[in-house]
Amino acid sequence: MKMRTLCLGLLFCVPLFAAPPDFSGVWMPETKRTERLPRSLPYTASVQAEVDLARKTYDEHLDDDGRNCLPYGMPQAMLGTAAYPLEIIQKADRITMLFELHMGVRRIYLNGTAPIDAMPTRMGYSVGHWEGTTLVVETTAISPQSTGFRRSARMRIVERFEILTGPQEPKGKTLRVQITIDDPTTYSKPLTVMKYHTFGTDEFKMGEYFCSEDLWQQVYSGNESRIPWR
Amino acid sequence: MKKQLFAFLLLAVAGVAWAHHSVSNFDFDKSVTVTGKVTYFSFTNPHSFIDVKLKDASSWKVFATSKVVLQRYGWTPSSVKVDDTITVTGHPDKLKPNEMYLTKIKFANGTEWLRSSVDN
Repeated sequence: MKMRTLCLGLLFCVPLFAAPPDFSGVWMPETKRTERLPRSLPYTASVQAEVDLARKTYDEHLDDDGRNCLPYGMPQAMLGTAAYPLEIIQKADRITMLFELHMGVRRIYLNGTAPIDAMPTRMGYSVGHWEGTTLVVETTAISPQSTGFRRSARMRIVERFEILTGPQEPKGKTLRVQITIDDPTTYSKPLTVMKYHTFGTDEFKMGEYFCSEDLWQQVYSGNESRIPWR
Repeated sequence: MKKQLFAFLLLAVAGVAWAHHSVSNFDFDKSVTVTGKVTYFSFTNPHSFIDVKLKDASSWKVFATSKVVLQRYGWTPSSVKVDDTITVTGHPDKLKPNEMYLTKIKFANGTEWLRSSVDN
């Protein structure tokens, strides 16, 4: 990471900002302080009508993304509070996030801006910059979805990542992320939650989560009646 | 022996963690406990499953969290075996009889596992 410095003369330089913190390591969602989105989301009127209609025909066994092994994208990958860790690999030019759940991968580019024609993806296109010791990340180009966590092409997510340290933090170090989801087509106001992760590099190894492997094994072994959620 | 089935209100269900999929089909305000013999165990992602046959010949389908989480908190592929006698506690399905979401298990060897120990 480049440290911004102010140089006086040839030899005497002083840092203008503190060096960016290192987010590398394994982090486990902390349920205690993490805020949840409200159960009833503030949909816009037109989307609310769609939601009401979808609820009438909703089949939780057929229409649930997770049960059908459809991996999470943004923002659910960051909102999750279940006991699946996240590994962060931090380099000067990018931050890579490996989610155990669905073995999701997310890249945050630290140099530049999102291409204007970025192809929409489930994780979207994330660009970050440092504001002192806070990493501010903007994510756009998220593929729209009209089921589950609804989103339109206008969704824009801003996250502020910070490290909290001290004896009050469960393992001495906490990754706190303020997540703001703005999608005026879908939601009548921005949604904001504070998410906490406990430092867990020493405690947790990232596991392997092949979601559909076992599903297909049941199919191949002619055991379709055991496909569990049918 | 009669089928053992206890239903009671949980005192503090502050909120279900945002799991990897909805478990809203289970009634988190209720809990049931049954003892029986294992007839099927699937140690899998995204969920693990145990079928238990009770002495009265009725069966329960027990829906548990994922293999990767259970492994992290001490389970192995042989923690549960067909013909083991186990006691399971869970939240019953709102609509389907004899289905539950596992919160506690007493394995055949007498040790217990609590889902709440996962902090989840």
